[in-house]
Amino acid sequence: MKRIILSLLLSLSALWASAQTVKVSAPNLVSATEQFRVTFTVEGDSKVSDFTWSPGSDFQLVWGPTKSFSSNTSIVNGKVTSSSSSSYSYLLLPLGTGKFTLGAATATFKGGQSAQSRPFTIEVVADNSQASSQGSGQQQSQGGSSQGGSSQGAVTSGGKTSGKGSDVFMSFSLSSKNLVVGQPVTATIKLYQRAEITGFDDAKFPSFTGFWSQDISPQGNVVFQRENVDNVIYNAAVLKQYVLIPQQSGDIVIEGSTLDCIVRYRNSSGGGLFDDFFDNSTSVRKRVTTPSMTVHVSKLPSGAPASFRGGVGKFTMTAKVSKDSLYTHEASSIVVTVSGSGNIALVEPPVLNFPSELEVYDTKTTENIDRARGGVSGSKTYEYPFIPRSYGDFVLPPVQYSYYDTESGKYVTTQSDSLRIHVLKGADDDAPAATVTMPVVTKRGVKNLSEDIRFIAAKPGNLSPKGRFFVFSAAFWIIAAVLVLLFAAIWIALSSIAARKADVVGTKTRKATQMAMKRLRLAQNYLKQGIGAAFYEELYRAMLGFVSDKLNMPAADLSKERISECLSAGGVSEEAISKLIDVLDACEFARYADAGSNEQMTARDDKAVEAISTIY
Amino acid sequence: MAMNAFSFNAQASQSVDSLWTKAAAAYSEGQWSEAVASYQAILDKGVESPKLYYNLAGAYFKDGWKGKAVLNYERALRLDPSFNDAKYNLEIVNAQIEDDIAQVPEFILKSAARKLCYMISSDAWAVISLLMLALTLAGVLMFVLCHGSALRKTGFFGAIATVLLFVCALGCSLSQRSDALRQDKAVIIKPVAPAKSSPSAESSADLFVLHEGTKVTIIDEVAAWVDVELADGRQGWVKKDTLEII
Repeated sequence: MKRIILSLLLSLSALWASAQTVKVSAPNLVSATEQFRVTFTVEGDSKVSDFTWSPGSDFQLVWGPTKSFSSNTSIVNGKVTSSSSSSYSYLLLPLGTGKFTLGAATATFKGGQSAQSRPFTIEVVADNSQASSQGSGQQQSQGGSSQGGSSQGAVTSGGKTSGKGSDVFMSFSLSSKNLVVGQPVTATIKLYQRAEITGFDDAKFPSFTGFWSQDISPQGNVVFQRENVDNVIYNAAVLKQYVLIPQQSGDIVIEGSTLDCIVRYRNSSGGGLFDDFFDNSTSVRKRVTTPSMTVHVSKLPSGAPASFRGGVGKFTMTAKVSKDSLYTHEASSIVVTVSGSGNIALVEPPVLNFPSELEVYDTKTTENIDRARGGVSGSKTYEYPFIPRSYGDFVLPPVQYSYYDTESGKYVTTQSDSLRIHVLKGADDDAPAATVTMPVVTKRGVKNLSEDIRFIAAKPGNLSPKGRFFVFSAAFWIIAAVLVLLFAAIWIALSSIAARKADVVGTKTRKATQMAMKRLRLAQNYLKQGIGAAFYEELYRAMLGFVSDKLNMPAADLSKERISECLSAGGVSEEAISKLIDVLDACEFARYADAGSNEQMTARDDKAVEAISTIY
Repeated sequence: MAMNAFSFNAQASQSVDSLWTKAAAAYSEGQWSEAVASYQAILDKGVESPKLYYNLAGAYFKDGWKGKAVLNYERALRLDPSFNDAKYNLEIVNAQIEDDIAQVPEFILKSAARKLCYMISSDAWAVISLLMLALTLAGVLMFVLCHGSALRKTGFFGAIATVLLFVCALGCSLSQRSDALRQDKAVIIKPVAPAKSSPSAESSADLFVLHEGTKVTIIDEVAAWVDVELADGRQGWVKKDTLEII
């Protein structure tokens, strides 16, 4: 049990030890003739038992270490927290110029734990201004790396004030001077000073006409940091920083900025005893300016893809469905995230092609732009809320997003996968079996989404020679003529039929031969059967009927004399009449006497036929 | 010889078919200019049909030639006035035409008669007129030859009715034919066509400016200039090459 508690305590103390830190504070840039202070601050709960550090061979220890100790105990709501800090200060003098590294310091605490500081790099330059006055021989050409610009290819325009040296000046730097429309650039206005500045006045910064600008200046007080400009140590501070995005092409002039600084100079002429007691410094108002700068902004090349939405830089795009399996009338959304660096603040949302079954609402845009990194990188999230009004599987075509890549100088199109949405029939769509009420359907007109001409015909139809008309063509006239002729023919034919129908006597006469032949055929039948009496009977009736029809006289009125008389009057030849009379005589005779031989009958039949055909 | 003629005919129609399918495929793929070329090649063979003009107009419209589209829809409607798809598409194309010309209102009976006349094509009216002629003759026959008073009455009045219909149908057919043969309707095919007060470029004032797709009526023609009348009655001389006769 005791052991467990002990180990617990030990582990706890180890935790505390990890909270103990050693911090270094030292100037990053010193002059070769300057004495400077390096301070190590050890913070922690337990006391420092041992502290070791050596300045190394590059620096000469002038004085130190100077120890100081402070502790702080606070009771908040009965909880006691205490912290203590020990600081060790060393005064050093550089032995040469260049970049040197201060070694790590090791602090050992009571209890055995130790902590180490991080190595610290210090640049030593042979400060020209001081070298000239102090005559130090340690002048070397190295160590002049400029820190003015923030990145390669940067352009700096500085304006140095005239007067007592160049102890105050201002610079305006732009990360790039050749841009395309929409390409973001960082502009920095820095103030460099070697004198004591007691105040600023009449600050005038450019308005950046033709640019979309965003002020990303550091918050709070202006923090000066040592910087090496042409082997002269200045205290430099960023006054203003902007993200600029050109909105138009051409040469755009950025006007210069001006700032009035009130600089205090100590009068070193006197050096009397009382000078130290009285204020013998003079304040001078100094105006520092930067010249105007011309930026060349070129147009975006033509041939932008349809999915180009103004993005210039380098971007990636992802698209996903927040909920891809849902019921009808349930909300979901498609989330498109565009991230990268460039004019992220100005890019527009990609256009999504939703199926008409989905009801789409206003796009929600969320920006997440990294201000610390100059406001040019970050991400933008577009949320497209939608509600499916129908069920089924819907596939959205891949979301395309194009941007202009400033590095390669061409348009790049990124594409997501096609998005699938599976919509099930919602419960409220079905009429529940338990309730009898019908679901209320709101009637809406069928909305026209767009208008277009109808599709082309699939078949050519009957192709005809150009400029041909049926009316009054030859075919038309022929058909019309045929119709009229047909009409005439029918009229003539039908009217003659009617006329004949109207003439009863004529009909009888015309039908006489027909009747006679019919009877003759009957007679011939009897002849074949050898019935003589019947043959003559029929033959007689045929002949008499024929004559009766022809002469339009009743058979009873007919005598042989009258027959021959009337027939000859009708223009019938004597021979034919005698044949007819002969047959009639033979018939009458045969009816009362012997029928005669078969040959005789046949001869008489032939004679009758002859007579009828002649008379007809 | 007859065999040769037949085989030549078959080849020609085969070529029309293949051109048609080629044009339809090009249209479906959105290659409008190729579709236009193929349809135009069919037309160059000297044949026409309402659907051919309709498809050509569609391809022209998609290719951005609004004037040519209007021209060919009008041609399709000239051949088949009851072509509903062509009417619908012409309305859509006309909605995109720049010139908005107020129509002079026509006497309502006249426009109704015109509408009736253009419901079917000239050839159809001609066939109807022949049919009516046949019915008239049949009615006359019935009146002349039948005995029953009811039949004779039917024949008499039937003949009078059908002879009137015959005259109307023939009139419609002839009016359409004369409309087409007159060739006085044209469509502006150039984007801009300034109309001048006289047929010369120098000594005349600009009266108004016509735009692509506007339908005009040709009144007169002098050398390279034509006198056109708008639907609202205004007249002016435009260059002949800015328009094409329907």
